[in-house]
Amino acid sequence: MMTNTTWLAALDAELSARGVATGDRAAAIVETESFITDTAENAFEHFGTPAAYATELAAALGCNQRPEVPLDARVVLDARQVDVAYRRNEVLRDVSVTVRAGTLTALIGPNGAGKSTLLRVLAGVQRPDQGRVERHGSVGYSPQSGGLDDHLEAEQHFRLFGAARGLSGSQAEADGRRLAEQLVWKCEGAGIAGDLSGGTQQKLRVVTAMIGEPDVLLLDEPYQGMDASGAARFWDLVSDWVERGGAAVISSHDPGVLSRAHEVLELEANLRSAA
Amino acid sequence: MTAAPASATAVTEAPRSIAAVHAEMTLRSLVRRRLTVVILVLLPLAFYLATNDAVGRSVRSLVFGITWAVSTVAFFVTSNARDVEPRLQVAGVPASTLTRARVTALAAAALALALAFWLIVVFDQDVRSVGGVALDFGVSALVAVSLGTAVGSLLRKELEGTLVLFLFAGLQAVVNPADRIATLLPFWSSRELATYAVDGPSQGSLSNGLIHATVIIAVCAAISWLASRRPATP
Repeated sequence: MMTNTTWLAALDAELSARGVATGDRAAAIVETESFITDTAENAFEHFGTPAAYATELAAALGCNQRPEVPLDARVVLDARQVDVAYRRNEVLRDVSVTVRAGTLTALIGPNGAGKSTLLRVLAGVQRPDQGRVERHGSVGYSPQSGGLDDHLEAEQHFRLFGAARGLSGSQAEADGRRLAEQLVWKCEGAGIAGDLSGGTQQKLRVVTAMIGEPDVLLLDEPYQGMDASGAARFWDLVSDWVERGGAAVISSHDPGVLSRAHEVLELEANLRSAA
Repeated sequence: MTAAPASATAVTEAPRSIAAVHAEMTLRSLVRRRLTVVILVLLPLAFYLATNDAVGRSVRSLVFGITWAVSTVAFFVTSNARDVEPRLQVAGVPASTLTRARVTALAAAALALALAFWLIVVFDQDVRSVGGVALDFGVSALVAVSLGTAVGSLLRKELEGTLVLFLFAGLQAVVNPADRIATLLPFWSSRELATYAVDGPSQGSLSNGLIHATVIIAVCAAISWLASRRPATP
């Protein structure tokens, strides 16, 4: 049975994923915590899963409305009629997506639908068989796995990725530490990447993608394996990023991403075309 | 996009080039694999000590060990670069810049290893030409870096790459160097240069060794370049 502490942390993450503002979230957590303390009840038994209760709260707070796409915003990434096949296995067919500054695009779909492939194509790591991708700005890419040197420490990754964006070593380290702290990760002395937990490696991928403030972030299942507080802070970080004019494309299985996204691109297994 | 909140850290340091930082990180990552570094040194040393009774044999065994160890390390470093380098390319760094930086770092490490073994030979053996041995070790180390990088660029699976390098090393050990087919092997130049250094110009050819090494390095560089242009696979 889930403890009340774990349940509250998960609720916080779920509320964050549904776009509930920090103040409303804190108030909801305090109120819920007071209730379960006063009644000595188990939160899971009383409220159900954190996700279900978060959906109820978010609806009550009016947070389930998807934000509108600012159509006058600059286009930073434009992909047209992208096809990708691995041998005879067609993974993407006729997929198009336009990403504007200051927007979050959610990429959803079941396993094998081609989310990671599409992100690789958008990033330029993989060439499509057909179609074209135009990038009008700098890109930061965080893959679902890999993408790190197992034998380098976090600060060394910051310096490497910072150098790629023209930052000095100290500036890159300062930026990396600031972003890591925002994800509730104290990275100093954390050791080499290969010794980090899966969730912490994911934080390192996200931080290295964000260093140097690229125009577009392409994040593949970015909070997979992160602890609840890290996942909640991740959404705060993304919200702040988008509010400051950055664009983000995030692949996810989490339905909570839908309420935050300006646009949703759904890929379906077998059908394999953009919705 | 709008700048993030300013960091509290005073920033006065000038940015370094990505090539310099990538080369440094390649070396840091390599040195961090302590057991790999120990084996990198022990493999040629074991070959040398096992044949220490004769000058020519020990020098040839040592350079054989250097080429095998260095090409294997270069292969694994190239293979591991497939994780980070595509992300750096997404950030705007040309693939050629990253490859040059990585190969430069590997070449520096390989030449340092060659220098250390050359010093051992100079103090331990009475060789005809210490300069010839230095040239042999240095050139062979560079050929090994090129070969390991090319195999690493071409073959994505580590077991396959390791077996290909094993094949080259095995053939090098069993094929008669006087046979024409031996010139097709990537490390034929190292044996030719070793013979030149140990037995003199009448037995080995300096120019043949250098030309062969240059051709192999050029072919390996071309393979690495072509492989870097291949589309990615899942």
